[in-house]
Amino acid sequence: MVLLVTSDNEQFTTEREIVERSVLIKNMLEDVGETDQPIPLPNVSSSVLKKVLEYCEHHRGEPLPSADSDQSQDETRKRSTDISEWDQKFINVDQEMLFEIILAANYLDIKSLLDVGCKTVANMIKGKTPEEIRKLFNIVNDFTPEEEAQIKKENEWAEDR
Amino acid sequence: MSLEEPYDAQIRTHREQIQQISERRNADCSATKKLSSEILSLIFQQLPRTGNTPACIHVMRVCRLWRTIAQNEPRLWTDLTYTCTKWLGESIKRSKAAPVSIKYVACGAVLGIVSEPLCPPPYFASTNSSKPPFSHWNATPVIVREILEPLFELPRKLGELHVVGCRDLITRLAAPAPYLSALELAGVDIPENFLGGVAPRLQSVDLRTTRVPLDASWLKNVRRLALCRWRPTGDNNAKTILSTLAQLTQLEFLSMSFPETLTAMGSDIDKVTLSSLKTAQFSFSSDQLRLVGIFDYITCPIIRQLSINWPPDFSDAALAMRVGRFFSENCDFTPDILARVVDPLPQIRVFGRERDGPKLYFANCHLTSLDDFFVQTFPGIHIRCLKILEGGLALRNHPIEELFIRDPEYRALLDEGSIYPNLRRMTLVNISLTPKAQTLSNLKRWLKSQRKLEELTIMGRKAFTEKDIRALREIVAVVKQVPYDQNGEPS
Repeated sequence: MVLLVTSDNEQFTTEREIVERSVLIKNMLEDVGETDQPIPLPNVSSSVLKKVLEYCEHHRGEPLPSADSDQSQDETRKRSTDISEWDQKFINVDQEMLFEIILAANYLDIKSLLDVGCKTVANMIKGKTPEEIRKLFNIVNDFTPEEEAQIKKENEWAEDR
Repeated sequence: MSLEEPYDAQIRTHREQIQQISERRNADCSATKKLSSEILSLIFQQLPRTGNTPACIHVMRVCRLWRTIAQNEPRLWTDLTYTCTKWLGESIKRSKAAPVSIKYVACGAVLGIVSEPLCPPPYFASTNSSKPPFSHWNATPVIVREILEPLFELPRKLGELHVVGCRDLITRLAAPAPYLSALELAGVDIPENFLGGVAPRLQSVDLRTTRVPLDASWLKNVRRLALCRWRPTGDNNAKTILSTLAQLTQLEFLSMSFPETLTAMGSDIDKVTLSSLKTAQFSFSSDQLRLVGIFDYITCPIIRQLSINWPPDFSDAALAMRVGRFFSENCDFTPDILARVVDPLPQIRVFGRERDGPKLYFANCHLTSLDDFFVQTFPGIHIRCLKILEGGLALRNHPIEELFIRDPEYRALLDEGSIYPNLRRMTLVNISLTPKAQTLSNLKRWLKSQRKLEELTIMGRKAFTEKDIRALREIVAVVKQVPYDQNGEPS
């Protein structure tokens, strides 16, 4: 069993097989060997770690992406915004939690979870106009007049073959 | 100084201030403020393209930060499958050293860029079709060729290459392509020195109407190979084809029609093992049926799916059995579902309940007696579920436990009055009740004759009224109406 300590000082005891879906934790455990010492996760809160562990538990036993498959996986990732049914339900959280999960997946180096998070945000953006995207993420238009002019020019490119 | 100048200067200053405040506001208050540029870039890479412009076009118009990230991420600019020439040029520049993806068609005098796969989908593609191997493509001005042409001098820049025709461009690809991962060529012979023989990341290869050097070193790491209307360079015989396929030790997916001139097996063939092959599909023309003997010389220890595209009106049970036995000897095949579908060709599909379990698909197979075929090919295997979605009745009076059936096959079933002695569950898919009185009464009579039937599901078209359902419940304990599912699966 492995003991994890979150940024808000909560402790989670979990099976090694589950937590080793995180490449960061896997490497840590390999470096320190068998230990009872808790692993501090200063960038992950308890509510987020709970979700992350739920994901890791569901996907336990699935093959981890290998280093040499990175390129082809990049290609697959690029082409598809499909998310499995379970993952969709899992990631159906409020925007803040979604971003926290993405940050935690990136920090803990859990590629598949990072992928699910990024795909979910991409799906939120898909089909929306720039103004709708700004509204969705509370962003204001901060372009300079020169940039606005360039954008206007780019808009005309698609018609002008 | 004119009267307006001080005012204009003030307006400029205020605008600059507003722009700076807006930028700071985004940095401090936007919902995505915590996401690093790296993560935002990953998100943008997931965006699918819509229309004739790069996928990231909308996010580039949201705010300065997003625009900067998108402009500076080469991987967002590697898809060169749109026809807007200005964006094509920009994309090549912005992709920097990242390998690009090209889908390019030269059909007669017309050039085009294709936004869909050039080759048909993997299962039971119409391999004998005389149609061009692409369905959706956009004609483009010659200038597109001028933009893409320099890339053929730089195989290092190629990540995916899908090209129809363009022999002159293909012959220029003589240097190693270290990042090429997918190659799709049609209507062009592959030159001797193609890619300098080096393409270490090449995993997916689709070749049509092409002369193929099967022993080429650039093929050695391939995992997915599709060969259609092709011919090999060198010896055109089954022995050479088999032995060269066996050299492709990482081959997981093979889709192959045999060269037209190859009609006999030949002699002195060694047995080969395709050690990584999981999915295979073979197409036989009517004068190539003797080549079915090829299965006697292949071992595929981890095969999970075999699809055979038989010639039209194929009905030779002995040959079908030979293939069925090959499959069941090479994998742990214990199917319990038989399905007949027509998509895109009439097919018989045999598989188990396990999602990733072995599957055997026969297209264009019109065996007179499926019962005999099963008993003799898979002795001891009991089909429990029958799905007749199209293509005629099968397994009459068989001890199946579950039946899916669609119009018009269900009418034939009622007329024939087949009895399934063990039938417990039945699903009627998208059926009509016309003429109602007679059809409903036939159905009731038929249901009564199925002694063990416990559950009836009516899927799709709402042909039954509440009153009809109540009447059916007097015969079958559970009667349900559920929405239609395209695959004929209960939702």
